[in-house]
Amino acid sequence: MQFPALYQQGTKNLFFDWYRILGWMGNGLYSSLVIFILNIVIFYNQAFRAGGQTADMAAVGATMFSCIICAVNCQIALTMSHFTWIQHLFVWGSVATWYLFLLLYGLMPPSYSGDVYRLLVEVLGPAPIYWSTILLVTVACIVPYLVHISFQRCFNPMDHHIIQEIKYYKKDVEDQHMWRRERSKARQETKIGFTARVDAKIRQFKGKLRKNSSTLVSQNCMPSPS
Amino acid sequence: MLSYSLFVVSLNGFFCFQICYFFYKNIAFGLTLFYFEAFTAFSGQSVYNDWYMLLFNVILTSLPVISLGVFEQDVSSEVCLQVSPINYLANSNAIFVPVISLLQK
Repeated sequence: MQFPALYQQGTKNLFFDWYRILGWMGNGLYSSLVIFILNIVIFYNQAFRAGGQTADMAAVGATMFSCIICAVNCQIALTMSHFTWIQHLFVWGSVATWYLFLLLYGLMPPSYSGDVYRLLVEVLGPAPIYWSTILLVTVACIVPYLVHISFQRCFNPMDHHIIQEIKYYKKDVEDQHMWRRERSKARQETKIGFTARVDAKIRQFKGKLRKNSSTLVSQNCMPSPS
Repeated sequence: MLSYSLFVVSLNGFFCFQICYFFYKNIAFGLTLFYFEAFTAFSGQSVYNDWYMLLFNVILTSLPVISLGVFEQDVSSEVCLQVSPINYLANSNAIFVPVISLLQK
């Protein structure tokens, strides 16, 4: 058993708490605000295309949706610590699929595609402000999470962070002290509270009492040998 | 046994993350739609094309989170290999103990 601490993360319930869920919800709220406000401010009253036309609702909607797709996929790429080629394919493939969809949908005749007709090819694609908006919004959306995980890893690391870094920097060869400390981490006194132990004692005691009384009763009921 | 121990180490964390991520992406997407409604004085007009909204959860953002749930691991398999899962299982859930003793035979 090299790292007992790893196996305690689940039982200590470090991953599933309300702070985490609310934190992600707050992150979603922040992202939605950033995406909407930045897009509206950028496209509100300035020329969008080289010919001086301003953006219509279809262009703003497609830009906003592109920002969401990019931000959401970059966010999940940021949380992954172990990439396989399948994850790369799915994460970046999702972004590519969105552009492919926009392209193909735009190539359909206007009776099907409506507002989206040639949107990517003629309106969004040649406009630098479209691409720079996506870049800006995506970065703005993932910065708080990036800051959070950086601070956590630097100042309040969890066990798997430490083990990852030990393995990555080959600390198990150089820094024996750190290695030993991490290995013996879970062999500590229990963190279960005093009251729980008292409860357990009482339960045990009651169980014993009941057993005693039941044996007494059975003894009383037994016919005497004489 | 190897796959089993990897599974146990990673299960709790990534389960929660997947749920949280679903909250995150749908809040980030859905609220922009709501803000736009407020912006247009609740005219009922949708800023996104219907197909965008249709494809968002079905195709465009579903596969990465599934691949994360399947393939993500905190530490490499060589570290996990050196660890036996029995202690963890024994102190977490008694139901698994008979299963482990079966596997060991």
